[in-house]
Amino acid sequence: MFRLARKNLAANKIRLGLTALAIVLGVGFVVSSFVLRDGLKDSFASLSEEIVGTTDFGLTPISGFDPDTGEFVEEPPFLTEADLEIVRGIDGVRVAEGSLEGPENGVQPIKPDGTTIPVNGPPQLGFSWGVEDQLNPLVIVDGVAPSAPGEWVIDLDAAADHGFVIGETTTFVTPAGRQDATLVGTFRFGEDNTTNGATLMAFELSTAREFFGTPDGFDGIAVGVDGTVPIADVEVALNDALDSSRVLVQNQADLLAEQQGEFNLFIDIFGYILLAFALIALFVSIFIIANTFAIVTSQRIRELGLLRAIGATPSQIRRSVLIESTIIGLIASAIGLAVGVAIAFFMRWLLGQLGIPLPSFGVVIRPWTVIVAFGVGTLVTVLSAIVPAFSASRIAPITAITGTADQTEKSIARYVIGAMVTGLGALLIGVGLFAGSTALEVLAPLGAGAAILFVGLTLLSPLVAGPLSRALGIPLGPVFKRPGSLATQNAARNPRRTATTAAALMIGLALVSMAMVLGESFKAEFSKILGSTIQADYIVSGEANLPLEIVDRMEGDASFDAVSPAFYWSADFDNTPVAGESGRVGEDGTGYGADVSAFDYTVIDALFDLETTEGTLATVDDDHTAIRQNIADDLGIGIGDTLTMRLDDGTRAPMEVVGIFQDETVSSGVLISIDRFMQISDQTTADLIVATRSADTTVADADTAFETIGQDYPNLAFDSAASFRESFTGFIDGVLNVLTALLGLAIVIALIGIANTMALSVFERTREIGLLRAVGMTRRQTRRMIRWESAIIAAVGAVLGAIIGTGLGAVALAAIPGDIITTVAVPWGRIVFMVAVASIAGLAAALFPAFRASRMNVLDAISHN
Amino acid sequence: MTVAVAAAGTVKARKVYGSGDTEVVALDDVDVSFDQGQFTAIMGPSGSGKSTLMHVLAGLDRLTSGQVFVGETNLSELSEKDLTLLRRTKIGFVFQAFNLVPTLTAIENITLPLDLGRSAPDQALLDEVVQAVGLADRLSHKPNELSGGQQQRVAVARALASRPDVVFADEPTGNLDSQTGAEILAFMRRAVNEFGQTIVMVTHDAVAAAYADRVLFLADGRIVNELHDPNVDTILATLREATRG
Repeated sequence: MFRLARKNLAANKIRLGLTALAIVLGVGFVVSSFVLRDGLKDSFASLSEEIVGTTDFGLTPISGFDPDTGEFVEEPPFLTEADLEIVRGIDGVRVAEGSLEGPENGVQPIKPDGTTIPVNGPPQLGFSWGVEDQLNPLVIVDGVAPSAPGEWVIDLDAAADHGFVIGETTTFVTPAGRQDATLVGTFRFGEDNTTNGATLMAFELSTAREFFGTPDGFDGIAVGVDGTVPIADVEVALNDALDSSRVLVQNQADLLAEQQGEFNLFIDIFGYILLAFALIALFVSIFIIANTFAIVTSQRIRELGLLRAIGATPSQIRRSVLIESTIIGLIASAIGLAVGVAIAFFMRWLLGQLGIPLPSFGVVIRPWTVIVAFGVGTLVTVLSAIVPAFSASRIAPITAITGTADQTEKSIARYVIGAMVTGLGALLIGVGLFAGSTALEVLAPLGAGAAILFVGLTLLSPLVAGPLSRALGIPLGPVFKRPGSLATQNAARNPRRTATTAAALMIGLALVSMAMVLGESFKAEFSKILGSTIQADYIVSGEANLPLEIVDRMEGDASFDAVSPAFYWSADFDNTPVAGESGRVGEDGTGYGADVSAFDYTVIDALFDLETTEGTLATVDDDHTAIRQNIADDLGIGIGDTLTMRLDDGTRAPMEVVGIFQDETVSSGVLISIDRFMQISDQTTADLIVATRSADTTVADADTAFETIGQDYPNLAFDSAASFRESFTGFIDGVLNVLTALLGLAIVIALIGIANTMALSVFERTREIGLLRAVGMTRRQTRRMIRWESAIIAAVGAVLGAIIGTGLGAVALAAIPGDIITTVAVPWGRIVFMVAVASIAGLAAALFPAFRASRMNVLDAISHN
Repeated sequence: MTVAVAAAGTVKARKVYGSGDTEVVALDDVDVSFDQGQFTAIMGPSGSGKSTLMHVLAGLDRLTSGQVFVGETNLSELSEKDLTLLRRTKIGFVFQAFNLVPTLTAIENITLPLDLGRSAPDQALLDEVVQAVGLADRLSHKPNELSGGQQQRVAVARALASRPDVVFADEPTGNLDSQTGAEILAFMRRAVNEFGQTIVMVTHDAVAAAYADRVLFLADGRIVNELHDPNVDTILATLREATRG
C-alpha cells in the first residue's frame, strides 16, 4: 500500500511539474518582456541625464512653414553665427556653443581594410565636437579631443570593432566627395558607451562643416548659465531675444523629456514586439495547461467518484479542482517571475551575440510586472481548469466502483460552437485586413481574430485528428510492424486528446508558415519585377547620394550600353481630378498631387519594361510626360491632353501626355524629364542608377568594369541583377529567421505540451503497456511505440498548422494592395521541411515518457489500477 | 499416456520480499516440475505464493535464489531482453482481466506476440485455434465490442497461437459467470487434449481446478500437497485438510 501511495505521489509530482512548466514558461516570457523594457528604460533614463548633463538650455531650429514666405523650411543649418552671438550676450549665460549633426550614414569612414561599415546595420552618426566640457556628453578615453581642422574622434567600441587606430588618417565618403581626417582619440558615450551598435564620430567644427557640406550656421546651440541671474529670467531673455517662429528654446527638463521620449519610443516598440511574441507563447501554453488538466481530471475519475460517493456535492468537487489550479497557478507564477528575469538577461546576451548590443541594466521588477505575472499566470491556470472542473463535477458516484466514465459524451455541441468561434475569428480577421485603415484598426481585429480562430479550429480539429493520425501513420506499419501500427492507433484512439495536444504546435507552425508564405511571395514578386520589369543588368543603390558622375563614368565605358539614373519625388499639378481613387490633393489644397519619377528616356525601354499601353515613353521631355493608367483615370486625361505641373518658383510647366503605362513597381505615376525634376526638387544626386551590358563585351569583362567603378564608392551597393535579387531575398530570409526564432518559443512550449500528454498517456496506459511487455514486446519496441505516437501527434499539429498558416498567408496577401504585391508563392519545400522538423522534435519530446514506459515493472504494470 | 517430459520447473526456487523485520518469504525453496502436455492447477490461500510461483515461471519476476527452467532454458541466466523474447515465443499468457490491447482487433490481439517478433503465424494452427474458440465471425471486432467471455477466449487463442512451451493462466475465469467460465475451462482442457499444450493455471476455484490433470496446493511458500486426476470433492477435501493442518 505504501509503495502504491508513494508511486502515485511521484506520478502526481511529475504531472504537477509538467503542468506548472507550461505556466512557468508562458509567464516567464511575458515577465521577461516587461523586465527587459523596464530595465532598458531605467538605463536609458540615466543615459538621458548624462547626455543632457549640465546643459541648461538647448536651442534648435523650428522646421516647417516659414510664416513670412509660406515656404516649407527644412534645410539645416538654420541657426546662424548671429543667433549664437545674441545668446552669448544675454545676462547670466556663461557659455554657449553651436553644434552640427550630419545626416544618418551621410559621412562614412573607409575602414583600414578598404570597406565601409554596412549601411543596413546600426547607423553611422557624425557630428561636431563640443569644445565646452560642460555642454559635451562625450568623454575622451584615449588620445585627445579634435581641436584642429582635419581631426576626428570615434567611440571606443566602433574603433575596436572596425580597426580604427589613433594617429592614422582615414578617408571619408561624404556628400562633398572623398575627404581625409586624422583620428586623434576615442571617446565614450555614457558610462558603458551605450551606442547600441551605432558608430559615433565627432569632427572638429570646421571639418564637420566641410564634410557635411554645410558651410555656415548650426543645427543646435547649447547654453550653460553662470548662476548670477535666476534661470527662469534667462529663459525669458532667450525667448525674447530670439525669433520664436524660427528657434525653439528648451530648458533642461524639456531636453531631458525629449531625449527620454525618443529612447522610450524605441524601447516601447521593441518591448511591444517582445510582448507580442510572449503573448503568443502564453496563448499556446493555455492550450497545454487546459489539456493537462483535462487529462489529469479524467485520470482521477475514480478518486473523484469516490468523493462523490461519500457525499461531496458537484460544487465541492468543482471548487476543489479550482482551488488546486489556483495554487498551481500561484506557485508557477512565482517561478515564472524568476524565470522571466533570467530570460531577460539571456535575451540581452543573445541580442548581443546577434550584433544588437543592449546597455547593461539591473534587475528592474516593477510592481506592475509582479501583478501581471501573478494575475496572468493564475488567471490562465484557473481559466484552463474551468472546463475540466465542470466535467469533473458531473462525474457519477458509480465511477468510484467501475473506474470508467462514460467517454462518449455528445460532441455535436462542441463542433457547433467550434464552427461558430471559427467563423467569428475569420470574420474579425476579414474586418482587420479589408476594412481597417490605420495600423491599430488592422492589427487589433487581426490579432484578436487570429486568437479566436485558433480556439475555434482547436475545437473543430478532433474531427480530422483521427483520420489524419491514421494517414500520417501509414508508413510506420511497414517499417516498424506492430509497434509502428500500435503507435498510429494510439495517436488515433483519442482524437480529442491528440487534437488538443497538437493544437499548440498547430498555432506555432501556422504562424511560422504564414510568415514563410508572405516572405516567399515578396521574394517571388521581387524576382518577377527583376525578371520582367527591370531589364538592366547592373544596379547601383544606396542610402541616397548617388553622385551623377557615376552615370558619366559608366556612359564613358564601352562595357555598358544603356545607362540611366532614376529619381523619385512628388509634385503638384493644376489638373482637377474627376475621380479620387489613387491620388491626393495638392499641398495648397487645390489641384492634384502625385509621385513623379525621372529617367533618361532615350534608353528607358532598354532598362525597364513599364508596360506601355498607349503612345511611347521615348519622347518624354521638358514639355512631354507619360502617366500611369490610374493617374489618367483620376484626371480623366489621355494621350494629347495636358498635365500642368507646379514648379517651386510658382510658375507652371504644361506637359503634353505622350504615353500611358501600367507599371507600379519601379516607376511613380508621372514621368518627367530630369531637368524638370531638378526644378521641383533640390536633389542633385540619383536614387538609383541602372545600366545594361554592351553586346560587344563579355559578362566577365563588364562585371569587372562595374566592380572597378564600385571600388571608388565603397558606401554604395553595386549589384548585378542577380546579386541585387540575392541581397533582397537575403534580407527577407533574415527577417524570416528572426521571426521563426521568436516563434520557436511557442514551438518549444508546444513540444513540452506533447511530452506532457505522452507522460500522462503512458501513466494512463500502464496496464496495457504491462500486457504488451508480458506477451513479448521488448523495451526497445515499447520506446519506439511511444516515440512514434508522439511524432504522429506532432505531425498532426504541424500539418494542420502548415495548412492553416498557408491559407492565412494567402488571405493576408489578398488584403495587401496590388501595387505592393500581386504574387502568391508558397515555399512548399521549406514548409514540408518545417513539418518534418516538428515531427522529429515530437519524436524527441517523448524520449522521457518512452524511457519510463520501457522501464516499467511488468508485474506492477499489469496489476496497476 | 505420453512420456512425462518437463516443460517447465524450478529448483530450490526462493523469493524473498523486503528485509529484516519486514521480510516475507513468498517462495521457500520450491522444487516443482510441469510435464509436457499436462494441465496443472495451482491452489492455495492468499499469500501462499502461488501467484509468485507463476510469475517467476513465466519470466515476469526474478528469484532471490534458485533456478527456473522453461524447456532447457535457465531463466535466471537471461538478460531482460532475452527474457522478453522468451515470453514472446515460449510462453503464453491468460490474465484474469485486461488481457487484450484495446486498439487491436481480435485477430490482431491473437497474433500480437507473433507480430512483435515479425514472424508469420502458422496459418493452419491459427485457423484451427480460431475455429476451436469459435470466434471466426468476430475476428475484426475490437475488444470493447466483445463480451467478457469472448474476450477471454481471444486471450486463450492468443496464448495458444504461437504454440508456446507453456501457457500460464492467472485466474482466467475469475471475472466470468460460471457458465462462461466453464466454456473457457473446457476449451483449455481441449487444448491440452487435442494440441498437447502444457497449461499451468492459478485459481481459487475448486470447480476450475477440477478441469486439471494435477493440482498443487501451496501454503506459506511451500508445496504442501498434490492431487492427480482430481475432482471437486477431492480438491475441497484436500483444501479443508490444508486449512486444518
